[in-house]
Amino acid sequence: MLDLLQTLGSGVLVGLVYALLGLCVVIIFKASEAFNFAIGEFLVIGSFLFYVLFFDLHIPFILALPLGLLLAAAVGALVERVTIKPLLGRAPISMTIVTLGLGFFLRACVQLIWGSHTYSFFLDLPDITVEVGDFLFLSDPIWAGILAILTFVLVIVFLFRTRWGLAIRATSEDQAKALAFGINARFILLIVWALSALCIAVAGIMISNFGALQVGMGFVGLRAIPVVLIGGMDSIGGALVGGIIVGMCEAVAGAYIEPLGLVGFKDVAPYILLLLVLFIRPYGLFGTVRIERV
Amino acid sequence: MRSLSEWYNDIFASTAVASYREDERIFRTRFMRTWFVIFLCVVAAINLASLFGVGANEYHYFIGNLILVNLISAIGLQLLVGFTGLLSLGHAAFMGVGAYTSALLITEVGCPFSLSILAGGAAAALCGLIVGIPSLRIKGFYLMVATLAFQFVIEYTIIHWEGLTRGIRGIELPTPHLFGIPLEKNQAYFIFVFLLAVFFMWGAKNLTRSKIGRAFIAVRDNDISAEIIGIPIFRYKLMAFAVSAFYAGVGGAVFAGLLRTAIPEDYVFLNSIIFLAMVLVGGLGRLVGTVFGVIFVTLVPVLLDLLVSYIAHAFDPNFTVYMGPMKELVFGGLIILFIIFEPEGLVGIWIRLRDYFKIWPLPYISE
Repeated sequence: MLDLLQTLGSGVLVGLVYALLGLCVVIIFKASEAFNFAIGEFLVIGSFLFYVLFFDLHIPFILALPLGLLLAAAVGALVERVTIKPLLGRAPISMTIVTLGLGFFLRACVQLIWGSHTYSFFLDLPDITVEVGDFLFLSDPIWAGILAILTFVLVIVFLFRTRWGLAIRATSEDQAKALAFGINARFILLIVWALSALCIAVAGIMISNFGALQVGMGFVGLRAIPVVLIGGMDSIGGALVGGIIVGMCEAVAGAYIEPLGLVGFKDVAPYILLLLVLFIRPYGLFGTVRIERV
Repeated sequence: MRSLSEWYNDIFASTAVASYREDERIFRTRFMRTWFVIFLCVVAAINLASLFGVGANEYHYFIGNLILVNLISAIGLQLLVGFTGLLSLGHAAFMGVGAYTSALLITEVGCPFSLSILAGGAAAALCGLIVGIPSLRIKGFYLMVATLAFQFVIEYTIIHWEGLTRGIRGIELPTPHLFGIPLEKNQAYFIFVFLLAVFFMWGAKNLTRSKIGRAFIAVRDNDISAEIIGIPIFRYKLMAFAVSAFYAGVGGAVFAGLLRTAIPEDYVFLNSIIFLAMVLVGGLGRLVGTVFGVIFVTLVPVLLDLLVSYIAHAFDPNFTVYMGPMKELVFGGLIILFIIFEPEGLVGIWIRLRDYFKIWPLPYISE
């Protein structure tokens, strides 16, 4: 029983990072009805930008972090201008397909610039390992969980307590009406992509800190797919719940099912869960149920 | 006595057709039929010439085989994406199912090659039916994600079910024999795959101009109106998945026969995207477009390979490490560029060119 609680606890900490990834997908989906399949590549690019600033240029952490995140946001904005903006007014599915191509394109760019070998990545954050009784939670996952939650809360505050956030929510609700009220919807899309790229970079830095930085890490980004589909494509709270569920599912599969001889089952378990959810509740736990004929 | 313009119209333009049947013919003009016969003669001539050691060599036939195998598989995806409007991100997984079924039947049971191809197609079609079931409740993006989940589950199964699939080592196959004739040389295999591809193309063309194909198109254009006019859309969506998976399975089985091996890395997510790129680059909803797309997308890495090995040879031997990333760069870039600038694909460019020359030198035809 203690064992299970320990496993679930670690799962929740990783799940919080997944929740942040889910949030990035959800805000883009709400604003433009497009799913961003290139999320894993944004994650890697964000981490590499931070890596260059912090480890190569030796800029102090307190400066390198915001600078790296801003650069990541700039990449997101650039990508939006070049590939997404020309598609406004076309079927949303074409944007989704473009992000599929974008994923491979960006991954190749990262490989050409930084190569595909592993970079050691270690942030010297204060040790806050928690050891109570039989429980042990390592410092890195706790930091990841805390920073993920912090970013999550900041994004929600931005969305619900500022003028810009109001404009973003209005555009997500109805683009045409938002335009009629004088909101520059095209610029909003730019902001949303930049914001999303910024948050993905936070998640990327946290995930790199677990081990090392490598271009293949982009596959973690695909973990956002089960997260948002379980939680609901257009629900911010759903992203949080979905992230925690996926994190726990992965931890349990890793601790209890893999020893039965199924090596690597951890990586497919969320997708099997996803298939089940698609069968039972196609719009996720908290997603808006669209009443339409199928 | 027919006038010259009538004669011209009959051969080249044929803009006016009298009936639906005439409009739906496989070769709408005599011109097209002539070109097809010329094409067949050219292929036969090339094959005859290489028997005497002139022209195409084994490597060229290998590339030709690759194109044809991809064509068989891509037609399936075209039927699903272009004609029924259902996106699939798991096409390579269906190919994998076909390839592994065929490989296992040949090595474990001793099944003949021809039967194993059919069995591969059938096994993939069965998987297609299973993947199609979620379309009962979901559509669009959600369905696409269900196929993505299927892709990952199949990838996992192939790599980790070592008792059956031998994991990453893959299954080695003997030389395929067709009705007792060994297909050892790439040229022999080429003739077989060419006939198979023409047969499957013909099948797909007939499917799209029959009742089933019209139902597919109706579902794609507007599924609600399709249901109102009495088309059972769920049945046709399932059918589209099954047919598409069947084509992929046959393609996979033939692909395994071509390489004499079935290994997991040929059926990964990237390959699903490459098939999607073939269909998108070629043009959605046109079978001819698939041919253009497949040739283009298959030849791009071959040409890249030539370029990279030339640079490696001439300047820097370490340049070959960039081959993998450059391939991804080109595929990703192709998808982006075609969606943004040419959503109708290569076939759209071709139709515009053809129409331009058809009415040349007039800017347009006045009726």
